[in-house]
Amino acid sequence: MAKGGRCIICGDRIAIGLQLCDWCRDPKFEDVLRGLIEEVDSELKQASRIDVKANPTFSLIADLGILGTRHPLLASFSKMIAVLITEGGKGIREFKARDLYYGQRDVKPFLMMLHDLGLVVYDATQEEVMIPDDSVLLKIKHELEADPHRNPAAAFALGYATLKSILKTLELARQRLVEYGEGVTCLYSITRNGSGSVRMTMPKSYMATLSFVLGSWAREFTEFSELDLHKFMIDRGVMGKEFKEVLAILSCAFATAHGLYERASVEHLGRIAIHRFRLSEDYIRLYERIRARQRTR
Amino acid sequence: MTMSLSNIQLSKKKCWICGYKKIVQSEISSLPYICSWCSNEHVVTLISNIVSEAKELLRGGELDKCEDIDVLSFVADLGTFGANHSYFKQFSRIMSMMAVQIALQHKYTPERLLKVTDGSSPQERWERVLDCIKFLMDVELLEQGQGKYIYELYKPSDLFLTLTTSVEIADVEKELPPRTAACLAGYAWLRGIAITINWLKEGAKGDAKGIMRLYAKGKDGKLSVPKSFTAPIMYILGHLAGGHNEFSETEFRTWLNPRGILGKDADFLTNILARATQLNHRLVNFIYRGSTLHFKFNPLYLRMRERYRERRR
Repeated sequence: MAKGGRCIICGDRIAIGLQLCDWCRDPKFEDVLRGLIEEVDSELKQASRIDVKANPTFSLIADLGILGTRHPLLASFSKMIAVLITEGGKGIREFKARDLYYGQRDVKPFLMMLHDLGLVVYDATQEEVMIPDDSVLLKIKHELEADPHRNPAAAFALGYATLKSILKTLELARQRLVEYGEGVTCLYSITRNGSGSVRMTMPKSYMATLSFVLGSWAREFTEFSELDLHKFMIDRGVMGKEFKEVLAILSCAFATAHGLYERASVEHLGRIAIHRFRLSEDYIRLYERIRARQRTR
Repeated sequence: MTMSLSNIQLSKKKCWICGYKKIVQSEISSLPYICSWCSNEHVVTLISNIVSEAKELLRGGELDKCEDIDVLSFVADLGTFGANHSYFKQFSRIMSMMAVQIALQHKYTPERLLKVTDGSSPQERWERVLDCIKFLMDVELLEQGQGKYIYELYKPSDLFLTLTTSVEIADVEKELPPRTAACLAGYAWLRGIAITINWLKEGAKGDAKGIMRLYAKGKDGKLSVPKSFTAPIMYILGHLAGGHNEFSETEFRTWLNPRGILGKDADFLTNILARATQLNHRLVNFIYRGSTLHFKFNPLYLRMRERYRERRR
C-alpha cells in the first residue's frame, strides 16, 4: 500500500519508493500543523463549546473542514457526523454502525479514525458506536444550540479529524510505510477490480486544496492567485470542472461560506481576469502566535 | 491606425509604456496608445506620490541617503532596472556624468557626455545626448536659459543644482556611486513615465513627452518600447498600487506574456527579481515555492504605500 506514484496526502505524482511529495514533506508543513493541533487541543480542553465565530483557532479548523463538505467522496462522512452531532445532542449516545451508512461507502475506516481521535468509541466486533461524555461532537452541538444560524461548527469535526490524521500520517511516513486504514487514508476508499488489483481513490480536490492552503500558510504566503492554485492542482490531476469547483469553494461562491480569505477578488492580469486571494488577518496572527510558541520551546 | 507625430509613428494597438499588445477593438478605441494597467488611477497616483516625495527629499539634499530613506531607495531600485537595460543604461550614465560635472564645475560639457553615450556614429551619439537633454527638460532637471553654449541654453534647474550639493559632499571626482546614480536616474525616469502617461491619456498630441523621448528610434522613424525595462517597473508599480503584498512568478510571467516578453526574456526578468543576477535591488524578497518562485514586497515599500493611502484617506 502507498508504495509510490502519488503523495498520500495531496495526490502529487512522486517517484516510486516515496510516500510524500516535496510540498507535504517540508518540515515547515509538519511544524505548523503540529503547532495548530496543539493549540486546538489545549483550547478544546478549556472550552465547553466550539465557538467558531469568536475563536480564530476553531474558526480556521472549521473553515478548512468546509472545503471538504461538498466533496462527493466525503458526503457520507459529512452526513454521519451530522447525525452523530444532532442525535448526540438529543441524548442518544449509542448507535449501530449499520445505521450510520449513507450510500455504498464503507464507513468503518472513518469510524476507526474518529475512535482514534476520541470523538466516538467504536466497537468493531459489536459494530456499535458510542459518543463519550468528553467528545468534541457534544461541544459542537452546544455551540449549534447557542447559535443555530449558518454556523460552520459542524465542519469543525471534519476539519479537525482530517488535520489530526494528516499529522499522524506525516509522523508515520517518517518511520515506515503507511498502510490503508492508518492516518488520513481512512478518508480514502479502496476497490478491487476483476484482476484483483487494489485501487485507492482519494478526495483529491479536498486533500490537495487543504494541502495547498496549509502549505502556503506554513510558508507564510499570505496571497496567492488562481494561477498558482491551478499550477498546484494540475500537478495533482485536479483540473477542469473539479478545479472550478475548488475555485468556487475558495471564493465563497457557494452557501457554505468560510472566512479563510479576507479578500477574494477578480483582478485583470494582462488579457485575463484571475481570482486573487489574501489570507485573513486573524489567521496570519494565529500563524505568528503558533510560530512564536514553537520558537520559545 | 497609425498617426504621425513629428518624426514618430504611434500605433493605437499597443501601450507605449509597457508594450501591451491590444487585440480587442474596444480596448483600442477606448484607450488608444496606453493600456488599462498603466493608465490605472491608482498607479498614476502612486507614481505622483513617489515623485513628489522624492523631489522634496532631493531638494533637501538627501540624495546621498538613498540607502536609508524608503522612497529614495525604491526610486533607486527602479533606476537599477534602467541602469542595466542594454539601451537605457547610456542615459543613466549621461545623467550621472552630468551630475558629477555640475557638482564639480557647475556646468556640463558635451564632450564628456558623448564619451559615455553609445552609438555607431558621432551624429547618432549627439542625437541621443540631445534626446536626454530634452528629457531632462521635461522632468525639470534642466531648464531653458540663454547663451551660446549648450549648458547655458539648457542650464541645470534649482533642483538639479541642489541635489548635486550632496554629490559634492560625497567627494566624487569621476562618477557617482552606482546606487546614487540609480536613484537620480530612477527619479527622472519615474517622473518621465508620469509625464508620458499623462500625454498618452490626453491623446498623444504634439511631440512625444517624458520617457518616450528616450525610446530607441529605428531608421524608418519608428519607436521601440524598451519593454524589458518599462514592463517590470509597471508591473511592480501596478501591483503595489493595487494593494497587493505578494505575487508569484506565474502571475508575473502571465502578465509579461501579452507584452511580448516570453521565454528567455521573461526568465531574465524573473532572475533579476529573484536577485539571481548581479543586479542589486531590494524591491522584493523571494521564496522558492516548489517549481516556481513567490515574491514578497519589501516591507519598507509596503509601509511607504500604506503611508500614501493613509494620507489620501
